[in-house]
Amino acid sequence: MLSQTNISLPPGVKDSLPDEANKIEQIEYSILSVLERQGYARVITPFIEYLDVLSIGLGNDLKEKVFKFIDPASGRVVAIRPDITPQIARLIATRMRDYKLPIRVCYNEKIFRYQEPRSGRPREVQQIGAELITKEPSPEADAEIITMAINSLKSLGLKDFKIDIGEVGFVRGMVDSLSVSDKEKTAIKDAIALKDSTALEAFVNSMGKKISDKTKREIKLIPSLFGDEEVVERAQSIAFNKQAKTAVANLSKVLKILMKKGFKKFITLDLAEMRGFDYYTGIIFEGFARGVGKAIMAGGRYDNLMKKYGYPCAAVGFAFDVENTVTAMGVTKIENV
Amino acid sequence: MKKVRSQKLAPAGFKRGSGARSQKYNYLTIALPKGRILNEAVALFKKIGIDCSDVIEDSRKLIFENKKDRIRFMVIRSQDVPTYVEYGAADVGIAGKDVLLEQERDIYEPLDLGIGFCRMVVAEPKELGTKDNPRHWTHIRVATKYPNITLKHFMNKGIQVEIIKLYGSIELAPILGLSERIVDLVATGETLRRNGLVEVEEIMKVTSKLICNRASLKTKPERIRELVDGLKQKI
Repeated sequence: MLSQTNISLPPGVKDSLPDEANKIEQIEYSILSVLERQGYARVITPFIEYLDVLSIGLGNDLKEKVFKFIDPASGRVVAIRPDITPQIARLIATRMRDYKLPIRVCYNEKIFRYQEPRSGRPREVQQIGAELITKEPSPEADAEIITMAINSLKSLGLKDFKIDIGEVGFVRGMVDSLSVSDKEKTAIKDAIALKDSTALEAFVNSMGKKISDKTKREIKLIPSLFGDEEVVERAQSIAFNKQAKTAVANLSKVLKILMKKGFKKFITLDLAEMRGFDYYTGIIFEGFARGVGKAIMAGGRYDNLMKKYGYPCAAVGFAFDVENTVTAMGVTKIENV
Repeated sequence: MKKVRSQKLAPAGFKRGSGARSQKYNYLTIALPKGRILNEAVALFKKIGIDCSDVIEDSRKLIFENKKDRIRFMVIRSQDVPTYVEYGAADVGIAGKDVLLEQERDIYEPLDLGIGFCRMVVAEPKELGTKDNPRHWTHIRVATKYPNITLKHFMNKGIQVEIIKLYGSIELAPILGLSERIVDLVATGETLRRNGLVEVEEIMKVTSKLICNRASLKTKPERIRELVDGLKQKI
C-alpha cells in the first residue's frame, strides 16, 4: 500500500478544499457577472493546442515555459497553454471573423507554465479575463477595459486597491531612439525595469558623447515616473521622440476618461513599467490590493497579435490571477475585524 | 522609539485603526540585515532623520517600532531580506548584491547604498595557483554559499562545474580536499591569506542595495519616493 507521503502532487499544483473552492466560486461569479452584464460573452478554449499554432502568439518569455508532449495520433508536438490571450486571438481570427467588431469576450480558464520546482511558484494558474477587440486602437477602448477591471475589483468587495497604469511605448520610444548598441539598450531597459537609478545613472554616464547631456538627464528621470496624475506632465516634459510622445498623449487621454468616471482614488501611474508579455504594444496595467505583495490582475494592449493569426485588428484585455485574488479577499476580511 | 513586545502585528501595509488617512501616514515596514551591514544601515537612516539605533542595542528583539515616523524595523538574516520584501511582509529592505543575484527575486532595486563593500571571488590553494591558468579549466569542483551565481559564472565561460553548497567556513573546503576551489566574499583578503588561499578571479563587486516590494511602491508611492529621494541625497 502507498504511504501518505507517496500520495503526493507534483510541484506547482494543488487541491482546493470546500472553503477555498467556495471563495473561488464567489470570485468567478462576481467577475463574470460584471463582464457579462457589460456585453462580454463567455468563450471556452481547449487545454492543449499544437505547439506551432500556439507559438504564433507566444513571445520568447512564454515559449520557454511551455509544457509539451508528442500527440500519439499525429506525431505532432502538442502544448498545454501557458497563456489564454493567444488562444482568444486565434479563436477570433479563425472562427469569429464574421462577428461584428467590436468583439467583447471573457473567459475563466486554467493555464499551465513551467516554474522552477524550488521556487514554490504555482505552475497551474486559474485566470478570469476579458478581451476587447476593435478595428483600431483607441483610448476609449483602453479606458473601457480598465473600467471593467475596476468594476470587477469592486464587485469582489475590495475597497483598498490600485490599478497601476503604464505605457510600454514610452520607455521603448525613449530608449530605442538612442544611438547606442542593442546590448546597451537592453542594459538601460533592465535598469529601468528594476527602478535601479544607481545602475542607470552609472551606465548612462559611461556612454560619453554617444548621448547628449540633455538626453542623459531625461533618461535618468525615467525611474521616478511613478505616482499620481502629475506623472503625465513630468513624462511629457522629457519625452523626446515621437513614439514616447504618442505614448504619453494616449495615456493622458485614457486617464481623462477614467477621472471623469470618478476613479481617481483607484489609479496610480508608472511610466517606467515595462512588465507583462512581449506582445504588449500600448497601455499596460496591474491591479494591487492592500496587504497583498503581488499583483492580483494584469493586462494591456496588444495590437499585433491578431494580425499574426491573420486578422489585423486592435485588442486590449486583462486577466485576474484567481489565487492571488483569494489572498486579497482574505486580507480584506481580517482588516474588517 | 518603543519596542514592540508580544503584540500581534498586522502584515505590512495595514492601516491601524480606521478612517481614511492620507497615504503619507501608512506604516512602512523596513527589513534590515543582521550582521556587518546593520551599523552602516542605521547610520544611513540617521542621516535622513530616522532613528533606529535601538536595533543595535537589543540583539534579541526582532521588531522595533518608530511611532514618530510611522516605520517598523525588523532585523532578520541577510539572506531572508529579499524573501520578506518579495512577498510584501516588508515594504522595503536592505540586501547585498550577492544575495540579490543569487536569489533573483521579483522586486525593485531603486538605490545602491554603497555600504557593505566587498568582492565575490574565485579562490584556490596557493600551490595550485602558481601553475594554474583559468583558461585551461574544463571541469572543476567549487565549494560556495552561492550555487546559482557560481553556476552562472562558470557556465558563461563554458566550464563544467560541480558545486558543493556549504553554509559557512568555505575556506576549509580546499584545505580538507572537499573541493579544489571556492567562490566566496572577501573584504580584506585576510581570511584567504590565513588559510593559504589566493584569489584567481573576481566575479563581482558587492555593495548593499535598497530594495522595494512592487505592490508597496504602487500603493504607497509617496512614502517610498520620500525614502528613496532622501537616501539618494546622502550617499
